[in-house]
Formats: sequence, structure tokens, C-alpha cells
Amino acid sequence: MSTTTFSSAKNLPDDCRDAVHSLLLAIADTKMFLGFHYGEWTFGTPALEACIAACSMSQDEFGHLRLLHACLSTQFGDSQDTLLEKRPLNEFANVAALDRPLVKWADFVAINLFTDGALTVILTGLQRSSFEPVANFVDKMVEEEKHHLRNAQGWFRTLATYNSETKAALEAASRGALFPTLEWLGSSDHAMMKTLETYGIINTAWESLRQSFLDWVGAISQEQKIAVGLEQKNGHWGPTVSIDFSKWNPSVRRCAPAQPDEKILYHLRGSKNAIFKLGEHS
Amino acid sequence: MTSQRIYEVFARKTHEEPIMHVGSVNAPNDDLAKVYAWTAYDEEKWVEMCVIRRNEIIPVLNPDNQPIWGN
Repeated sequence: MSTTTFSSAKNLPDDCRDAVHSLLLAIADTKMFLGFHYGEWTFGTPALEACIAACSMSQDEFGHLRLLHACLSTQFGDSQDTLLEKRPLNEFANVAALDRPLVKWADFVAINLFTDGALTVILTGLQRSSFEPVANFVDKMVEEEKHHLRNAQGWFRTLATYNSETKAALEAASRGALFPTLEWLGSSDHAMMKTLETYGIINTAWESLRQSFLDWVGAISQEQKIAVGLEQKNGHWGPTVSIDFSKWNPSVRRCAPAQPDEKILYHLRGSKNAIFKLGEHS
Repeated sequence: MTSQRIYEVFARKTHEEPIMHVGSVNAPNDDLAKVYAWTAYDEEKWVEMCVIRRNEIIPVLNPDNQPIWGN
């Protein structure tokens, strides 16, 4: 692994620049959709305190999104048009489980644990990154994400043990969140992940990050007797059904063409209030 | 599932000042109590915050047996 650091994207080798751009875009997209769904759950939570927590997590995600979009803009020349406003739906690289509304509270809890959890593991992999613009802000994100994971674990344990109905709902929601999240994480053998490792963009092997995520959620699921589709072999957790990554598209981190619900983008883009959008001063 | 408990929240803004009671939250377990305290009482830049289950507080002087901190 390289010990060279890169003060800007201009200094990155060409193959590495594309890999970093794709990864940051995928993290930003996932955070944008997480922020939307957490925000939606400001209303309808099973407890008043839970709505405050959901709203707070939404604010965190949108705060992180601002940092990521600023980085993508200054380092890679992206604009609000290319990032959000005029981007085709099939180019968003969010975890597919976020494409649709999270209908049940169990869906929220599963996304909070599995998808936000996976994202946080990747963020920890970016700590001390050789790409300095990212290394400068990622510690703050990881610190704030600790509260998200505490919330996720607290609710996961609560729903797992309340009654058979909440347990069944949690199991179904967990499987619905876990596998699209694993698809988004991709194959550790992919050239993009190897490039990120080689240039020290991430501080360890991608496989190590992926495995630490699986071991963490595997242990929590086992502890609560929730069957999420993971099994333990040789001391490590892995999916019971392997994912076919042969058609995995690294630009959207999906195995098959799909796209988020247009209605969600309508809200994220602020389309309803388009006439109030202020132009940028030159 | 455990039922909802009341947790009292304590915090301080600097290491020099004493820790003080800032409010309470209802939560089914300690993990969620910590999250709820952090998100509900985020109006200050706290340097320290903790929660304690209300039913584990031992009153020293409370002759009317009233809730000590309300709700």
C-alpha cells in the first residue's frame, strides 16, 4: 500500500481519480437518500424521542452530503446539475434498498443498521486516507455516525424481542436491506477496490472492511436470533446465498439496471419550489 | 421487550462547571436512552453527558414522595 499522499484530485493517477470519484459519489448518493428517509420518519415513529432522533440523523446525513458535494465540486468539477438536478435517475449510485419509501418502522430500523452501518464501515476505511481532501472531513462524519449505529442497535434489539410480529417484520426488513447493501459494497476482487487499496485511499483492504461489516451485523443478528441470511464459517460471517457480481456496474454499484423512485428525487431536488430557487451570483 | 423507562439526563458545557440535570427521556433500553439524550438535548456543545435510570436513583430527602424532576 502506497504512503504517498495526494493534496488534490489533480495529483491522483488517472485510474485512481476515477475510482475515488465513483466511491465518493456513491457515498454521497447513499447519504442523500438516507437523509431523505430519516427525514420522512420525523413523523409516524413509535415514540416521540424516536422522531427527534430520526430528524437529527437526517440533519447529520444532509450535513455530510454538503461536505461530499463540496469535495466533488472543487476536486472533480461536479456541479449541482451533474450531482442532482439534471442527473438521469439510472445514474444514481445509492444502495438500492433506498430506492423506495420505507413503509414500516422495521424497514427504517433495518436500513439504519445494515445500510448506514455499511456506509460507516467504509467511512472508517477512509480515515487517514492518502487523499487529503477526504481525510480532512471523514473523522467528523464517523464521530456523528456512532449515534446512528447506537440508535440502530437499540431499536434492532427492541423489535427482535418485543413479540413475534415485530420480530417477523424485522427479519423481513433486514433481509431487504442487507442484500442490496452487500451488492453496493461490491466484490473485493474488483479492480476499483484494488486501486483504492493500492494508492492508500482506504487504510486497509476492501475485503477487510466488508468482512468487518459482516462480522458485526452477523454477531448482532445471532445475538437477537434474527435470521437475516448470514451464516458463520471458520469464525467469519458471510451471506448464505452468494451474489453474482459478473454484471456489476461500478458506476452505480448495482448488478442489474434499476433506479430510485422519481417521486423521491422530486422532493430531493425541491422541484415543487423550483421557481424560488435563487441563481448563483457570478 | 422491556417497557419504556424514564432516564434522567445530566450534562455540562465545560469541565470546570458541575454536571447538571438538563431533562429526561423515555426509552426502552440504555442504548436508545443515550441516543435520545444526545439528540433531544443538543442545544449546547456539551463536553460530558450521561443518563441514569430514574428508578435507580436513591432519594435522600423527598418527604412527599413526589417525582424529583417532573414528568
